Amino acid sequence: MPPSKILSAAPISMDVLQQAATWMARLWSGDASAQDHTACAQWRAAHPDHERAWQQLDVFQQKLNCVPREVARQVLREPAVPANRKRRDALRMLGVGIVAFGAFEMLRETDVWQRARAAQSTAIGEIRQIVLPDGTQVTLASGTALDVRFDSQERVLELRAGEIFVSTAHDPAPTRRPFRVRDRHGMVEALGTRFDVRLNADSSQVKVYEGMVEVRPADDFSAAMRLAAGQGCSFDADSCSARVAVSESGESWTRGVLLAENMRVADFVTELSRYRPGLLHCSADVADLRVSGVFPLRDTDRALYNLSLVLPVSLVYRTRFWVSVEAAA
Amino acid sequence: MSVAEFAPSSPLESLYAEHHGWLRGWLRKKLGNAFDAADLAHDTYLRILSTGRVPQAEEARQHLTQIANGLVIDLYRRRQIESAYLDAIANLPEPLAPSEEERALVIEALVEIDTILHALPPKARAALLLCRLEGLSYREIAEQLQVSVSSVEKYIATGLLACAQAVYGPLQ
Repeated sequence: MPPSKILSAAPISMDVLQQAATWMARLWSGDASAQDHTACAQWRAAHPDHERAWQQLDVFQQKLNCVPREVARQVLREPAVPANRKRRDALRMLGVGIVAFGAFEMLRETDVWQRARAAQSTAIGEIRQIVLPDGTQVTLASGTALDVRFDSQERVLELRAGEIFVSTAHDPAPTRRPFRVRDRHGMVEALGTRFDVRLNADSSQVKVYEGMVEVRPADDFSAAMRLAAGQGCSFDADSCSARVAVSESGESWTRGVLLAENMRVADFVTELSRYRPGLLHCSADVADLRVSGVFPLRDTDRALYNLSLVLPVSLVYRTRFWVSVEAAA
Repeated sequence: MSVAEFAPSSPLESLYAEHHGWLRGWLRKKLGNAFDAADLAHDTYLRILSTGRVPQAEEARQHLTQIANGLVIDLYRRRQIESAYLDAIANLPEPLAPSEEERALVIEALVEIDTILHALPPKARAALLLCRLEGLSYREIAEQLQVSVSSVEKYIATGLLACAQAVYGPLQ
């Protein structure tokens, strides 16, 4: 049982814990000034919660003190800087056999693998809505993998691949549990809201349509940023981009259509390719043409055909799974 | 943890009666020995008892294997840590060699630290290890991770916060 529950019932606020973490990191830097030390001591003395937070954060060092330094180094040190996920999965592998390791590591990164393991998933081309135990509605875009983990303390969606649109419901639980979407780049916390999270290879994208969310990059809590309705940003594990305006058309996919407003053909094709197995691209000479209209996402062949009706492009079907959009002859 | 919640012929009892047999068999195949299998099968039920939530009949099998699988991974990891630890102290001269009891305490602490480290984001974890185990300065860590010194300070702070979270439960 966590010690905090024995010592004291009142939880410490996130703000106080963050301040304590910032102080401790400052003092550990090795170049903290005498003033830093004094100011930190004053901060700790200023409120009982400050000191409690300090003690909680010191837990790592306290545990480490139980082990001779040299032993800890040899046992815990790792080669280079592997993601912790990798090691855990490597352990999971022990039952399967080390021979397949390299291939497995590569496979594990793919969306196909993520979809096969996640509790909720959609095939390419599929859009599906689910209702969670608290009444929250989640729409899964094509090629999405999602795990749902609700417990007494938080409501968490683990986004492993793809894109989701979330419309949160009021939590029926007696104590308020935060609603969070996590992916490998960080966490998005909903503050009563409708929003969209998309996981891309190197970053994630959030768009807020109602209420407010807080985005917390995985590696740096001080980079957290709040987004209000009509705002969006992209983030990776380190930082958030500047806020950008989002248009309502961004949620059209949840109704199975792509609403294009003066959209570049290159972007249109990228968007459509998410809903279609195989290869779909466009040639450079049509990439910058603009298109507006409503296109069906569940029938991408028709969407492409409609595109060819409104723009001077032609569709080249090399096979059903290899299509390119080129300038009309 | 309360045992009183489970009345006689409780769902837990029937869960035990119906599934304990194959769970042990499944674990024995995975682990290759009956003693560990019996231990982990027992621990699997203890886990369920401590959460106080017995799975519905139709999802029982999946639920039990999920918990048992987690315990198998924990056991592998613990064995790895034990053997790494024994390697580390193998070369100590006789008078410095830790007693049986000291060993047990150190291994316990190592397992706990390892569990905490697993909960950290990759860069925060790397920064913490380099700082506290290797004794590197933030500047040296910054060079290794190829980030700025101020980023290292943020990674350390984020790592400390995540450690607290791993030990004391999710923060509000």
